[in-house]
Order: sequence, then C-alpha cells, then structure tokens
Amino acid sequence: MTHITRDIHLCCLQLLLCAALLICAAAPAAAVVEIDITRGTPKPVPIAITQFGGSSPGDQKLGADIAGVIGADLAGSGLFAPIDPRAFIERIADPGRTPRFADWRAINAQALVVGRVTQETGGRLRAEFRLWDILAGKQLAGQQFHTRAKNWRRVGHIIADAIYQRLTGEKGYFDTRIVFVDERGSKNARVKRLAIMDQDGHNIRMLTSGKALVLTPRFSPTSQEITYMSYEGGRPRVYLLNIETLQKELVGNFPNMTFSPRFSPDGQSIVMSLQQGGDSNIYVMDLRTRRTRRLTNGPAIDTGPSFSPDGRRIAFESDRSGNQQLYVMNADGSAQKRISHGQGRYSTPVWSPRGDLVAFTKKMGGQFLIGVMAPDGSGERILTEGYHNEGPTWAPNGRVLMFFRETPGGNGGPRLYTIDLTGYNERAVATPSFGSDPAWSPLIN
Amino acid sequence: MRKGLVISLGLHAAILFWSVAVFPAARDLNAPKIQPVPVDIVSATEFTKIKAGKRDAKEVKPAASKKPDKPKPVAKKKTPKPKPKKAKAAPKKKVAKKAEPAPKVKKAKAKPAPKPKPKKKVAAKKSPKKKTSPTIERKPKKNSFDADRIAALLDKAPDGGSTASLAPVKKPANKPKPNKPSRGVAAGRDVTMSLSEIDALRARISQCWNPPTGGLGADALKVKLRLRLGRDGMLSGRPEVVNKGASPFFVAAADSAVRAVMLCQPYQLPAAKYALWRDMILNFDPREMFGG
Repeated sequence: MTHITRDIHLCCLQLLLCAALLICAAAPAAAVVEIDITRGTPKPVPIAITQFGGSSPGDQKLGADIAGVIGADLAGSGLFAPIDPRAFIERIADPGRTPRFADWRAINAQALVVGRVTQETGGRLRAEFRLWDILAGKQLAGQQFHTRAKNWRRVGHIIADAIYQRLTGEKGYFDTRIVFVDERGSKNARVKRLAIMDQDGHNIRMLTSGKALVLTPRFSPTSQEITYMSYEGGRPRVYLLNIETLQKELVGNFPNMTFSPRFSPDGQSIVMSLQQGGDSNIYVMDLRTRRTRRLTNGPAIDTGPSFSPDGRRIAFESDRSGNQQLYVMNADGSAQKRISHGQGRYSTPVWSPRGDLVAFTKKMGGQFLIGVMAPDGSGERILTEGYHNEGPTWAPNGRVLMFFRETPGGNGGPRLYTIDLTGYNERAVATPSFGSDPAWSPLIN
Repeated sequence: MRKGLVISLGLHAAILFWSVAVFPAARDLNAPKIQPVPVDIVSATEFTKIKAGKRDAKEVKPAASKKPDKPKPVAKKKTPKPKPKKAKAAPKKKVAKKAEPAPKVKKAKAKPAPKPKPKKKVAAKKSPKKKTSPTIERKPKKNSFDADRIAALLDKAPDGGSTASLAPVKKPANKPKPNKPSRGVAAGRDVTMSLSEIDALRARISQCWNPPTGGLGADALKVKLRLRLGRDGMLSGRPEVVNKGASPFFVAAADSAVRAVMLCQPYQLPAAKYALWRDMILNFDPREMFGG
C-alpha cells in the first residue's frame, strides 16, 4: 500500500516537473535588441600618467623621470595621448589607494597610471605601478620591479610595454634597441660607424671605429650579437659582432664578396649573398658547423634574403625577370616564386615577426617608397614615399617599421624614421647625427 | 490626245483606287499604354517594419476564422444603424441612380447577420455590392466563395462598407495594429526598434568605440556585450561580456567595448520604447575595419 502511495506521489511529482518545464519552455523569451557595431573611431587613448611618488626628493625626481619615459613611449606609438599633468585635479600621494575616478573622468582621461619609486641600499631600485581603467573603475594592471638604479630608463620602457600590451592586446616594443650606421662628416668623406641605442634614441654607443665602411647590420633574434657587412681589409665581407664584448668574427672565408646577411629565426644560421662573377646567389651558413649551402643558382643577382618567422621560407629579391622583383622560396631553395607584380622595382624584403606581411622598398617614378604586402604578393600597401626611403626593419611586435630617409642636397643626409602599419603615424627618431640602415632588436630579456 | 487623256485618267483612277484600298488598313502608331506603378512613400521606421518580417513566419489563421464570428453579435445589435449610413454615404451616386438601395440593404441586414459564412454568397449575388463598388463585386462573382479569404476581403473594404458583413469591421480598417500578430512579422509582433533609431545608436557607439588596432586573428577581437539601461539612458550596471576569451587581444577588445558603452552614456532613446532598449546586446566586431 505504501508502495502504491509512493508511486502515486512520484508520478505526481514527475507530472508537476514536466508541467513546470513546459511552462518554462512555452514562456516567450524576452526579445533583446541585438546590434552589430562594426566600425569604431580609432584615435589615441587619453591617458593620465602621474609622476611616480617617492619618499625622498631623489625618489620623487626619479619617479618624475620614469613617468616621462613612459609618457614619451606611449605618445610615440601614436595610440595614446598623454594628458598634460597641469590638468590633473587629483594629486595622488599614495598609489596604493583607489583614485577618485570622477576627477579623472572630468579631464576625459580613459586610463590612469600611478606609481612609486624607492631607491634601496646597494644602488637598487624598486618601482611599482598601477594602471586604472577610469571609465570602468577598475585596475587593469599592477606590477613591481627591482633593478639597478642606473637601469631606470629600462624600467620606464618595461612599464610602458606592460601598459601598451594591456590596452592594445599586442606586445610592446619600447624595451628594445636599434643598431644602425652612424654617419658623420661631409658627404664626400663620410665616416660610417655601427652604433646602438635604445629605441627612443637614448643610451647611444658606438660599436666600430669608423675606419672601415660598414653596411646592413642585423640583430640576432636570440643573442646579443649582430651580423653586418664591412669593407675591413679592403674586401667586403660578412662579420659577427658581440655587442657586449665587441668581439668580432668573420663569417666564412669566401673568395668573393659576401653581403646582405641576416639571421635565421633560431639564430643558428645566417643567410647571405655571395658574389660569383657578375651574378650573386643566396647561401645559408650553419653557425655551429660553419657549413654553407647554396639556395639559388642562376645568372641573376639574388640578394636581400629574409627568413619567415617560422624559418620555413625565405623572401629575397632578384633581377632574373629583367628588373628587381620580390620572390619567396622554401628554406631549402625549392619552390621559388615571384610575389611582386606591380609597377616599379622592388627590393629589401623583410618578413614581419608576425609572419603576415613582407615589408619592402619600391622604386617607382623617381621616388623610393616603403610598403608592405602579404607573403603571397597580395594586398600591397604603400606606407610612405619620398625622395629616398630605404631599409625597412620591423619592431618586434610587427606593428611598426623603422627606415631611413635621405634628404637631397649638399647638406642632406639620411635620418631614421618610424611608421606604423596604418601609414599615418610617422615619426623621426632622434640620433646625434645622420643615421641609416637601422635594425630593430627583439625585446630585451 | 484623247487616247493619252484616257490613259492618264485611267492611271490616276487606278492609283486613287489603290490608295483607298490600301491606306485605311494602316495601323495607328499609338504608344503602348503603360500601367502606372503605384508608389507609396514610407518612412524609415515603416521600412524597418516591412523588412523585419520573415518569409517563413507562420500565417496567423485564427485571426481570419475569428473575424467572421464577430459579426454575429455585432450585426444583431449594431449593424442596423451604421449600415444604412455607409451604404448611402459611399455609393450614393451609382446606387441612387441604378437600383433600389433601400430594400437591398435591408436584405443584407437581415440575412448575413445570423450566419455570415454561408450567406455571404447570397449577399453577394443579391448584389448590394454590384452597384455600389465594382471592384469588390467582381471577385465574389467570378470566383467561388472561399471562407478563408473573408478576412482579406474585410480588410480591403475600408471604403465600401456596403454589405452587412463588412460593416462591423470598420474599426480596424484604418488603424495600425502594433500588437496584432500578422504574417511575415518576426515573433508575431511589431518590430522592436526602427532602422533610424538603431542606426543612430550604432553611429553613436561607433563614435565612442576605439577598437584595439591590429592583432593576429581578428576573430579574437569580437566581443558580445550585454547592457541594461535605466529610463534615464544611463547604464544600470556594469556591462556584461557574454562571450569569453583568454588572449590578451580579446581582453583588450572587451575592455575597449566596455569603455565605449560607458563613454557614450546617457543614451538618447525613445522613452516610449523603453521596454525594448532596457536590455540590449551589442556585437563589437572590428574585422571590417582592418580588412579581416
């Protein structure tokens, strides 16, 4: 009997549940308006960067300097517009405290950077920062760094990279260095030396004496080394140089001229051109075994090789079709295919670190242009043009290119410039004198 | 001389005869008559409503079947008074001249009232319609009666109103039916917000949205955001990111979308439609901008 009543109860319960489910299913879902937003208005993000606080006047001075580095980096990217500190309403003494968002909204800030610097014993420095989203009223990032006090500029660059990455999603490129050819003296007797500096033009240091002409320096992606071509000894050859110890090494002892070197993505080999009579072909050398392998073979000038970031393909230039054009081949030299088909002559291909684009120099109508195209040759886009633009090199995040632009005339000379992929944000890079052939380092570890 | 004259006269006569015989058969060079195309000028709001329909939406038949039922009680009580007015007002010119409107109207009153469906035929044949409005009268004459089309016929007779069965449907003929289900409208109800309102909102948010530029795989930049608004057009809570993603690109994109909707408030939206915009979903997708 009890079993029967229990069964009846169960049946009732099940029926109730079913009814409830049916009612729920039958209830009309509230119609929610759904709108697609496919267009935005790209503009620099207004960002407030406060002077980093400190307990002593020395700390406060250092804090202000670091804030200046951060502001300059972010402004230089073209994606941020630092707000003039004189407009700030709230004075932040303690960066650990939540800011008064209304005060920052009042000056149209969308992001706020606060921080503190403390110089510790033994020449150590502690720096901390917080990034606030003013509109959402929440903290987006917060980090602390310990380093030697003399590295304070690097601290600024690292913080700027962290802010850049948090707000754009992309890795930053501020904590990087540039190696380039420093050019001084009159146009007829110009002294060219290898130089290295931070990407913002600070901490410049000469790497060669200037006795021999140097060209086309390229950074190793994995070590503190560069490869370049030098006329040392009267014959142009490819060298390796350790930028810390300045130790130099000849890459292969070839009878003819070697030029246009570049590292492979793993840093274990160098791809370069070797002159043979009136022609030149592309070779790859394994830096561990010192064995070389020829990749192209033909009656043409094949040069300017550049590896794809996965190391499986190489872009290069060749005049085999009658004038300079861009080609792509597999890393073993097979499947060579022309990718540039526009008007004019194409040269200096450089594969983007992201792998999606190849930057190049194009000569057309008496002008030198810097542009990008997909590795299959599609989507060619010119970013800048002028009397003489050449030698593009990619920032490690693949968003910005640096190149040199030469001005005509007796007093003219090359200067370094950056331009981002939109083609709108072009900026001159400060160098103590003329500069050419820039090469961007990977992010410093 | 005479001979020549005779020949000349004969030839002229032949030519005249020929011309008389041939030319009358010539066709007139008339331009073909072009049927005028009716053009309705509609507002963006109305256009949105038209476009929002779904072809596969269910035809709402109950409405048609219900309508004929209504006249029963209405006809008994109310039809006698309004009908004569209508019958006299609209078809006055023709009806007055050609036939006896009074008895016919009476017939119409008497018969269709109790059973509209079967007796419509009779009403149609007995033709108060024939003389009142030719456009309506043809249909029932040529085609066999179709009960399912009653509703359609009723809706098309805003000016007629001569038959007893049409009379009670006067009210809905000119009035919009915002909440009434109809074929082709999604969810069987009127559209939520008009095209112009949605476009205005989209344009406003686009102005406030500063999407993260670049980024490998623009798919990572797609953000679905749900927001709830108060009557004052201000957000009534923090917008909710509906889809998920862990990449730095997505996190930055989601933050940029949230900043956009916060920056854009207060929203100027029609207060009458608050129920529709109090809860919205915005799909932020910048791929179009970056050629993705």
